[in-house]
Amino acid sequence: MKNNLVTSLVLLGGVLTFCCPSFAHHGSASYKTDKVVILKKATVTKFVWANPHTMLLFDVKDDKGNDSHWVGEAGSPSAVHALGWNKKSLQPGDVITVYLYPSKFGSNVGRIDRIVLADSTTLKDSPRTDLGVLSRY
Amino acid sequence: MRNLLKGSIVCLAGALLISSNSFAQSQNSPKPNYGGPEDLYQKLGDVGEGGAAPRRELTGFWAGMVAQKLNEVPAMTPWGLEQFHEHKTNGEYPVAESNDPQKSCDPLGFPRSMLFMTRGIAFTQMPGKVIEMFQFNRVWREIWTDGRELPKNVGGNSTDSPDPRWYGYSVGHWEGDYTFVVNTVGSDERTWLDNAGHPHSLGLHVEERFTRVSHNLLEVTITIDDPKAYTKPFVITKASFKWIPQQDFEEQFCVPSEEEEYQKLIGEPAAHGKNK
Repeated sequence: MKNNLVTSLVLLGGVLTFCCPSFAHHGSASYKTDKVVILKKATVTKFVWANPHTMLLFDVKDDKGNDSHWVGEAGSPSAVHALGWNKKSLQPGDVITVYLYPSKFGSNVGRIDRIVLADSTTLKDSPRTDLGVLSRY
Repeated sequence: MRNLLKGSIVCLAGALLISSNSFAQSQNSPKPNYGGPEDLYQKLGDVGEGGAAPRRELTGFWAGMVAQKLNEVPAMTPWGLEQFHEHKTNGEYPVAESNDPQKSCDPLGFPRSMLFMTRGIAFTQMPGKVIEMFQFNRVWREIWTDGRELPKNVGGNSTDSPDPRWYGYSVGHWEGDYTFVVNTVGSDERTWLDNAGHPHSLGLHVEERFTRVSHNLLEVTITIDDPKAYTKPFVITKASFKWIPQQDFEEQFCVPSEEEEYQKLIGEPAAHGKNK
């Protein structure tokens, strides 16, 4: 049985992480910032282009072939627009790879680090290239 | 059967990992390790002087940093500490558990509006007053220049006591031709002083000194005086703003319905693990 859920856990041991309430509109206190989950062959179900954060709803097949529903958040539209996103960047049915920082509480929710589209275009949440640094927006 | 489940662990030795929980009880938050795209202030880069500063003139659209660099607050009073510990910021707590009034799109109020989300401010001058407009939520405040005094006994028990206001009551005057001094009292206590959850009382008195350095540059020094909350007055920030060439802001609003959807899809599940 094919398992289409491919998850790589990258431990960012030794990376300096801070949570600063002074700068975050909505902070990252809910997320594990020392690990990134990579979800391949994710299918977009909805893309919400709105404040305070853009949101991506997508499904990933689990090892039993059932849809596992996920929600990821990224920066506000004005923030991610500056990084090349637009309200049509993601459409229902698109098959993508999602890198995100998962919830500390076990839910299928996370802060997106980047999305790789089928044509290899990368949509990033931050211009930073090092993992473990969340966007302040 | 192809096993597509892979696990790869990459350990990056070297730097020190510090838990964010250690900041929960501190009065002053450390610098964040946030990325994010450049704001307009950063994108404008070196705007140069653009010519001499016009005399007694602030009119125009100005770009600021999304969050100003703030100085450490001085020791708080017992009342101030009590308020501070009750404030659950978006950064320290999961969004669903935060009680930051901004979370429900409550007005940022003053002076928080000058310390956060200050990516855009604008001024227009008219007889007897200066209007300051904020890009975030497109709100404005009046700064009276007709010589009136600041109101007294705001929020008092007398029937003619003025009510507190989200953005307080402000009066302003010019010192020389290039520095506009604004004093504000009466800010509603429901607002936070800043994003770190520092409090202020109704007795807060704020002084802003706007200096038109050149045509393209505006600087402001903001001083906080609140004996009920802090043991001494202090300068909370010295900020600078750049002239926006196109003299326009993009629209930015905190929309209650969008916040509600965000809490439903992200905030609650992220904090309580219920969306599976």
